[in-house]
Amino acid sequence: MGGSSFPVMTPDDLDTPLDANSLGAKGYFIGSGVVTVIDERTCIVQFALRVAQFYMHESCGKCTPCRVGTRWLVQLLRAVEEGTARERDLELTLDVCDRIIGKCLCVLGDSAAMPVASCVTKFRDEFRAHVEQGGCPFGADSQLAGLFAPVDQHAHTSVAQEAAV
Amino acid sequence: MSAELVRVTIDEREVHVPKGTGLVETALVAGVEIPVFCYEPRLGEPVGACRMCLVEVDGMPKLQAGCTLTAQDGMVVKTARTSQQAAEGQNATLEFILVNHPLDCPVCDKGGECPLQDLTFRYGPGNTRMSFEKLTFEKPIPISPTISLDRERCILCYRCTRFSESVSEDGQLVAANRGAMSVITTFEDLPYSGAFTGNVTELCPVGALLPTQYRFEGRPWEIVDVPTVCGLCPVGCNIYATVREGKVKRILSRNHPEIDEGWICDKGRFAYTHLRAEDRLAQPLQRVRRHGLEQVSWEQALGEAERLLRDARGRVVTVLSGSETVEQAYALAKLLRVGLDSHQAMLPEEISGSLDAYRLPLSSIRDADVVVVLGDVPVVERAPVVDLWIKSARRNGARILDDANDPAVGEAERVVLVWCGPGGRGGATVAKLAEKLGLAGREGCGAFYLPETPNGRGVADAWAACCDEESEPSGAIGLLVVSGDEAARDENVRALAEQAEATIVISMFGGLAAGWADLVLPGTGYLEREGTFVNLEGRLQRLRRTVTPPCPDELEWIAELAARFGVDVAPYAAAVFAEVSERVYGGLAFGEVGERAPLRVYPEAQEHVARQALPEPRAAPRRKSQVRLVAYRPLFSGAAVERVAELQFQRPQPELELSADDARRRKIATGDLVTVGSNGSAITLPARVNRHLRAGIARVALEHANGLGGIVELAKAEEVASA
Repeated sequence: MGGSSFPVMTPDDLDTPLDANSLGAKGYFIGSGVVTVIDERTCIVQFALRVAQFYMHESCGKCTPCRVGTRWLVQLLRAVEEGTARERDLELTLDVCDRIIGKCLCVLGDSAAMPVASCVTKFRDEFRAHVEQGGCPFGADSQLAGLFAPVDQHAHTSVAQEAAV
Repeated sequence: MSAELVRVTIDEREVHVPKGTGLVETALVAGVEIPVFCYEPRLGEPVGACRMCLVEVDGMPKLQAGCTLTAQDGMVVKTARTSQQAAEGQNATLEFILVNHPLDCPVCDKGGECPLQDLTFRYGPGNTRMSFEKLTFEKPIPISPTISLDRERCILCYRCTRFSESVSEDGQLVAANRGAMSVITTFEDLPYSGAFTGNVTELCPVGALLPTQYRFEGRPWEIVDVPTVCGLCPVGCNIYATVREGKVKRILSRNHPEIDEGWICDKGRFAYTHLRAEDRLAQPLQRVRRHGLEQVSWEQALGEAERLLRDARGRVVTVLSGSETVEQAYALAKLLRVGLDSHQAMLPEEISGSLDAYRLPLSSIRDADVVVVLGDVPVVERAPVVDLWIKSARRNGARILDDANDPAVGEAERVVLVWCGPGGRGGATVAKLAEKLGLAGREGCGAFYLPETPNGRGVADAWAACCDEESEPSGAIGLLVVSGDEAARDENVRALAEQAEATIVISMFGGLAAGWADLVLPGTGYLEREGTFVNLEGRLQRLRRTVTPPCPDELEWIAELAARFGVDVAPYAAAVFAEVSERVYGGLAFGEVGERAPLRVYPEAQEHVARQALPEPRAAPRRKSQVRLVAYRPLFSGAAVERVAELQFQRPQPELELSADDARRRKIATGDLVTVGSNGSAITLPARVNRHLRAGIARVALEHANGLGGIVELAKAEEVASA
């Protein structure tokens, strides 16, 4: 709700009126007003990873938490998606988000950390399933190609390098 | 006018500071440290990039970057000492900073004197939770022959790029890419060049930018930083010489807020290896018929010197370099004037005492409304740090003019004149101008003359103070005593030596004395001497012996020689200074000169007329085809620089600077070949159009001038060829 930079909502929040106050009361933001709908065929770890990759690419690099934290989040989420993460990495992911939020020069760091933190918190079981099964439970069936631009869309040297992190 | 005081509470301690004081400084008043990496007030506005300074401020929802805040009345601040939230924030910052840091402290030259190490120890996590591959980069990258960059150690505080952008204003150091891939680099990957590049190695709070000369040369527990003063130019920047096992390993700035504000130039920082140059002399050399110079014992050398001096009694002419200490000059004067009745001395430039009424600390340039820079030689080439003061004046809104008749000069409150170039008559010209403008006694107004020699004033004062007798008209030169490397490399001095019956050269380097000296006595460098220097402000400063020279100190053998002529010269700087001070410096004691010397005025200091340098053409160009060629001595030149391989890339390009006006009239663009000449000799060089140059002036580094100077014909090279 509100664009990629805000916490995700779950079906429990479906009847929340679409105005700033009602959303704000539940800890959401109206943001740009964009509503992105994701159904159960999409892996939420992939979603969080894709969002984190976007913000890592967007980070200007001026302040420490955003520059370093966004890259660290991508590394953590990729480990979860690839099945090399451990249970404590989920806690670490939340902690990294917490250490970014409210400590950066601008809100871009918050924008990266808020959706990731909400994904980990609200879809804990799905994250845990990745850790326990050693990989994505969806196998190759979940894909975000229709939802987001591919990560290598920008022909930018640093993106090529980023893709290698 | 004192600013309004405000009450700020820091960690439950109440302090009163002027409103607007930075929070970091306010906390210091309360005895509380707010740790910082990127914050450095000398670099301009704070940026709040590193997030090390996070504090909790009452009434603000989030942690704040303390470095970007200023003291406001009633402010209540909690640092990591009393706020769990702030402590957690700083711990987080350090964890993030260390995520990609290689943690190679055991092999890092910064280890032991590293702010990152210190702050991690105090505020950081004891362990890392990062289990992925760190960012790696090629390293070290020589961003110039003098500076090595390690991008893995870099924490991207942007101190170096901010220095390059807003202090030295060269704009060469930049951050490339963005986000996690941000790196520090030089513009277009060109070598980082300029007068001040080395300062970034001191600004860097980690081991990312290191002076290449110092890599793997010493550890902080093996070194001693000895406070002294740089002796390579008339500014006299305060420095530390880092000494390990009796060798100078590094030069650091030692912030004198009135002189250098903690910046030093690359010559002062990197030229110290000249002390260990291949042709450095440790033993005297004596000319032996048909063999040239041969190494002899000190006993033999002093015997020979005594013989030469005795033979030339009353006919000794001394050439001074202006790089001697006050004490050396005085001791030499006492030996030659009192002992040998030889009063004739020459300095490489004229030194006038007439500026004493317009004395100011250099830092006052920063606060001026108008700075008039006269003389046509680039300030940075003569007194580099003065250029930084002028730049900071411009950033503060001052107008920088090249014409004292500009109406803005009359309207301005604080006017500072700076003379840098020919025609200055040792400061007399600019003093006259200051008098005409009525600057005497006006607050914030003053005048500076930038001499060519580091201690010309001190040497002239010492020589004059020694004895009251006048120098008699010069007859034949019995003995020429050439003191110091600058005098020894002067071609006019060598020409003079041909007229002398004999020549003694006191020099650090064999290369300078070979071929023309009869006796060479090894000299010491400014880093090896006890004594005093007088800088261009007229400030008396203290030099310390940071390392033992490979040869006896000049004072030692001057005292020995003086004794043979019945003259009493103490072999210690303190004792010699006491004698000079009685006559020149109001009896000030050696120990009172001070580690950060104040600017004192010495009314006893007289006006001295030294040897006039080359005749200085003052006439304006007569014909349209003519310009006045100013051949200046570049900063990166001289006996010391010539002996430091790493500094050779800094030497000036062979090019001729032209004013925009002269270039336009002749349809010359930067890069075009131009020819300047007079009396049948000419040089052809690529042109560089400089819009800061006055019309009618062309400028070239002395080493590319081929002896040309004064009024010359200027034309595009192909026109000359076709004519």
